[in-house]
This record gives sequence, C-alpha cells and structure tokens, in this order.
Amino acid sequence: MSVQRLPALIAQSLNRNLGHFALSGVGVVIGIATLFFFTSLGEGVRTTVLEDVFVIDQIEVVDPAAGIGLRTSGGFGGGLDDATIAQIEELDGVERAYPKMKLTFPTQASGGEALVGRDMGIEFIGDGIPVDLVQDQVTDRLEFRDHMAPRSCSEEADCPDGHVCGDDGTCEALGCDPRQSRSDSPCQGLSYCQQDREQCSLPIPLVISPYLLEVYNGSIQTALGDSQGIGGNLPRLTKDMIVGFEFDLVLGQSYVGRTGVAGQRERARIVGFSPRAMQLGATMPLEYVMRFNEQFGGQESAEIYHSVLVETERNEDVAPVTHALEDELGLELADRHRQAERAGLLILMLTLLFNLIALVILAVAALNITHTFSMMVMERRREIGLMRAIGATRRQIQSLVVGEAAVVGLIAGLSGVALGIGVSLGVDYAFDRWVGHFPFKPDTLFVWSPWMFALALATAVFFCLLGAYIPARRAGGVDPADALTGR
Amino acid sequence: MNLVASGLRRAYRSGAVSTEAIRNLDLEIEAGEFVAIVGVSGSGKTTLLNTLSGLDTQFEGTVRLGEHSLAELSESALARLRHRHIGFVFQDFCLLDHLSIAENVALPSYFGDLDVEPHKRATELLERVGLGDRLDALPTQLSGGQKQRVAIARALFCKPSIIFCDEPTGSLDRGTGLSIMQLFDELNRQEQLTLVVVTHEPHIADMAHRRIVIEDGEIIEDTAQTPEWPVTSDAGEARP
Ligand SMILES: Nc1ncnc2c1ncn2[C@@H]1O[C@H](COP(=O)(O)OP(=O)(O)OP(=O)(O)O)[C@@H](O)[C@H]1O
Ligand SMILES: [Mg+2]
Repeated sequence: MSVQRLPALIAQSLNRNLGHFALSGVGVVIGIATLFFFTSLGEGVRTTVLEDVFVIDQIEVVDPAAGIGLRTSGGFGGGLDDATIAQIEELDGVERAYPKMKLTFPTQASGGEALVGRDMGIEFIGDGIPVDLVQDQVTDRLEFRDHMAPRSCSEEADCPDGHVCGDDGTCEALGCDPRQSRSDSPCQGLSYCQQDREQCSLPIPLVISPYLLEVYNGSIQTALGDSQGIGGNLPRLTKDMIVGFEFDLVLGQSYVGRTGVAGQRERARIVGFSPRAMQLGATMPLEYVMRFNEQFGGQESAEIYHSVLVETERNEDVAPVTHALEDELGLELADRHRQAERAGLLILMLTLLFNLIALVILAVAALNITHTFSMMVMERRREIGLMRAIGATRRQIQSLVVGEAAVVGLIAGLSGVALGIGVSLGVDYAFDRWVGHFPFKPDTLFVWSPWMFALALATAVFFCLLGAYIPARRAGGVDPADALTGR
Repeated sequence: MNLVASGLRRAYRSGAVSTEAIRNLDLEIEAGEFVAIVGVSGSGKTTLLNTLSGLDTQFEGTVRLGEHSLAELSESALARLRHRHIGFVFQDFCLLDHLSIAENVALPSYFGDLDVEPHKRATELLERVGLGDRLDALPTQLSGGQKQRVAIARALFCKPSIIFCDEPTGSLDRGTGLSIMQLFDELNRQEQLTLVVVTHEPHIADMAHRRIVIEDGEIIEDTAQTPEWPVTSDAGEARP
C-alpha cells in the first residue's frame, strides 16, 4: 500500500463508522483513565512519603555496633570516626561524607513567649552537621557557621556584631555586664551578653527539619489548637515566624538527668529549615557539638560520630554505594531507610493492585474491541472482497484494520489520559477542600511524568491492537470470490 | 496479454457433497478480443470468470495470463497482478457508498503505486464515461447505469489489459444495458482492451465478437460472430 495513502483510507473508514469506533473505544478510555489515575496517585503519594516524610534522597548510615555499646567498652572497631569518614569517601561513586554528631549530655531549652505566647521549658535534643550541608537553606541574617571559632580580620567591618578587630588580626569579643540593659550594652545587633564569659556572643545558629513544623501544625496544633487547657490556643506557625526565633539552651541540665557540670546558658537562634536537620530536634554546626560534648561528655564523645550522610556523585550510584557501605564497611542504613523501603513497597503494591484492576478493565475493553471490529469486518465483507479483487493484498487489508485499531487506541488513550487528569484534579480539589490539614499534606496527590503519558498511550494502543488481532486476521482471510458472490 | 486455460476443473466441496462447477475446460482468449460467456443459471459462468481472473485459485489445471501461471503466483503476487493488469465489473456495481464517485474510481490507488495522480486520473476516466460533471456525487445519488459507468471507470483506473465483467447489465434495464455495452465496445475498439463478459441475456451476448456457451461446467459452443446491435430507439445511437 502506498504508505501516504493508507492513513487516508483509515480516516475514511473511521469517519464512516464513527459510532462503532467510539463505542469500541469507551472501555479503553475508562481503563486508561484508571491506569493513569492510579499510577500518578501512586507516584504522588510515594514522592511525598519517601522524599518529604522519610527523606530518602540521601543515604544515612549508622555504626551497627554503637547501639549495643561495643564501641564505648573500648578497643575494637573504630566507630564512626574520622578514619571511617575517610574510608567512606574513598568508595567509588561517593562525592562526600558528612558526619553527624548528637549532643551526648542533657540539655534544656527555655523560651518561646515570642512565638507561642508563653515561656516553656522542654528537653532539647540536638545534633551537629558540617555547615556546608545546609548553607543554601539559611534565610536568616545569622549565618549557619561556627561563630565561636576565631575569625581573622583586617578592619572592623570583617567582624560580627559585638566584636572588634584586635591588634593580632582576629576578631575579639567585647566585654559586657549581663546586668546591663540592652541599650547600654556593647552587644548590639545579633549579639547578646553571655553571662558566664561576660562577653558579647553570637547565638548558636540552628536549623530545624520541615518535618517538625509539619508535625506541629498538622497534629499538635490541630489537636490542641482550640482546646482550653494545657497547650490551648496554640497558633499555627509558618516558616517565616520561626526563622529568627531565639531561645536559651541550658547545657548540661535537664528535667531528666543532670551531669556533674553546672548548666551553661547559651542563646540559640533558628536560622532556617533543612531536610538534613534532625527530625525531632534541632541541628547546629558540627563544631559546637564537638566542643560541647568534649566539655560536658568527655573526650571520647567528641570524636565518635553518630551517623554519616553520604552524598553520591550521581543518582545511579546510590544502590552500589549502599551495598559497599553495608558489605565492605559493615555499616547499617539509618532506620528511616528501612521504614521508607517498607512504605515504598506498600505504596507500590497498592499501585500495582489498582493498576491490575485497570488492566482487567483494559482486557475487557480489548474483548469488546474484538467483538465490535469483528462485527465491522463482517459488515464490510463485500467491501473487503472488492478491495482484494482490485489488488489489495491480505497484508494490506490487515494493516487497514490494524491501523483503524491503532487510531482508536491513540484517541482512546488521549481521552483516557484527559479523563484521568480531570478526575485527578477533581480529587485534588476535594482533598484540598474537605480533608483537614495533616503532617506533610501535599498540595497535590498526583505526580505526572512524561513516562506516564507514554505508558498510557502505548498501553491503549497495545490493547486495541490486541483486540483487533483476530478481526484483522479475519479481514485478511476474506476470500474475494466468496465475498463478491455473496457467499 | 493472452489468456489460456487448459484442463481447468473447479469443484466446490461442502462436507461429503462435491459440486463440479467446471469440468475439464480448455479455453484461449487473445489480447483485444471481446468475448461473451453465456449459459443458464448455475452452469458455472461466475466460477469460470473467477478462476480466469485470479480471484479463485482453488482450481485444477492451468490458467496463464501472459507469462504468468496464476496457480503458481503467491497471494501477494496475484494481488499485484490483478491490480496491475485486470479490471472487474460486477452486476451490483460494488461501489463504496461513503465515498464520492471520484474516490471510488481512485480506490485502486490505495493498493499499489502508480505513476498517475489519483484524482486527475479519476477525473479523466469519469469524463470518459460521461460523468465528468458528477465527480463529487455519492453513489447513492446516481442511477444504476451511472453507477455501472463509475464501476467501469474504476476498472480502467490502472490501465488494465483485460476486464472481466460478471453480468454487467444484469441490474439494468434493457436500454441502459445497451449503452453500457456500447461503452465496452468503444473501449475494445479504441484501446484494444480484452473484454470477457458473462451474461445470461442473449441480446447482450450478441454484441460481442465471440460467444462461448457453457453448460454444466463445460464449453458446448465457441463461435466467432459479427456483433449484432439492436436498432431499437431506446438503445441510443445506432451502431456503425
Ligand atoms: N461457493 C460455492 N459453494 C458451493 N457451490 C457453489 C459455490 N459457487 C458456486 N457453486 C455451485 O457451482 C455451480 C456453478 O455456479 P456459478 O455461480 O458459477 O453459476 P453461474 O453460471 O454464475 O449462475 P448464475 O447465472 O445464477 O450466476 C452451481 O451449481 C453452484 O451451486
Ligand atoms: Mg453467476
């Protein structure tokens, strides 16, 4: 068949049998809409759960021995120390390894009046990570860096608030009296007068996890926000409200336990949000934690990291790097990876289950196409006979039917995708309107990627072709002599 | 192209019953002949036409068109041969009702490459059969005779060397039938087109140059004849 002419013939035939073809395609439209809907829903939920809730786009490893206390009882293994970090960084595909360290002594946080309307004292859980892990997520004036480290300067402007450039070329903190009022104090701008050192200091910069805010807004605030008792009238918080918020940390003192050392009061300031921050707690630059751990928990607790974030060179490296970390270095993935794996699997199974339903619908639709097309072939038997007589080969007749099915598939596929999108938008609207806020409630439940469109169209065409297989063969098998003599 | 059949047999089998529609038939038709095949109903005319024209290959014996032996051609080669060299005209016209008559005439262009522009060729042919002003009409808007002219134009589309017609006038009244026969006669004279026309109407057979009578699948008479054109007024113009 002259290739350019086949589409014209198919178009003519489609045009004439529009009703039949539309009817035969309806099932495919529904099947494809179902497929598209559940695939994009599955992807959407998976993305939210895995990327926002479990943050799996970063590998985090822990030392499996740490949990059972082998490490502290001395000698064997190195724990997650600098040597291990160096080993990890040697692995193929690893871009960098970032150690994380927790505060190993009790700490208490107090403050909160400015934010929630009253002062509260709570147990503070914190850890430290290298500063370059979070820099771009800091929106506050106070930088996320170790402000206690010596800083060189050549003029006054090089030094932070409350500091001057000394003769030796480093910034020196100004002395102050903690009893002075703020306007009389030399500690201006971001700095405050630290009571033990009697020097101007900058607050400890903290980043917190977006998860924390979600949990607060989605559960605590929602549950207690309108109640009258303890925690009543808690306001809903936004990121902007939290950034710049300051409170006091009393290091070495808590409600739970006390170290031998007297509590040291330091001010902390929230400077931004980062998914790399610990999920229930706050994260500060690693140097602070090492310094405080040494001061309050002893030398050893300042050298052993609790976990390591591993950044790979490319996404494809995640799997092999994970293997290498587990098998070669004997490290263990952090809990949330296992939970994420389970959650991901569950979502995948559910998606597959619903897609199975879609496939059943499509299979029925294919049968329907077989039926309708067979009927059409019967009706057009004489016409097919004529075409064969005037020179059409079997293959050409088959391609005619197959071509018709492909066009039906394509159109049904497009309509199915459109229907799927329409239903998704409706569900999103309803979800937004009638479902209350909960942690990580996403703006949309659906993720649409190019591969889904391709998959939907290909599946639609596939099932139409499958359905048209028998009718096409039947059409090709029409005997011209019989068909033309009406037998 | 000459058409030669020898030792031709065709039996229809349905279950245990076997009907011999063609029995041991030999026939030779030369290029440019105008042949009428006549016989009573059920004598095997259609069966013969189908085997000679390559629509039906389940025969015994040989049929040769030019240098091609039909039984030896593959299905697609046979289709190409029909496309290239053979035209068909049927009693009930076999037009596609959803296509304009120009598109009907150009139908063969879908099934093989030709060095002509389909619409242009269709227009020429429709002018040739006297329907040049109805190109966009649908078959349902035409009379029987006009429909048969469209079918003839379609048969001529690929410039065939032979046209097989099964009862081409069977659905037409006498006068219209005669005018169709006149068209065939013209084509035969002017373009040396070989024509094989099956009919059971004696006066139609009279207009051919050779008459073959078959009975029970066998040729019982095969004679050259001087075409006899009726002189009735409704036959249109008188023949030369
Ligand atoms: N497909 C078939 N199956 C079984 N028998 C058939 C078939 N086609 C034709 N026959 C038989 O073969 C014989 C010849 O039939 P054919 O159609 O060739 O006759 P015909 O001369 O064309 O008749 P008519 O003038 O009625 O068209 C008849 O007896 C018919 O019943
Ligand atoms: Mg017949």
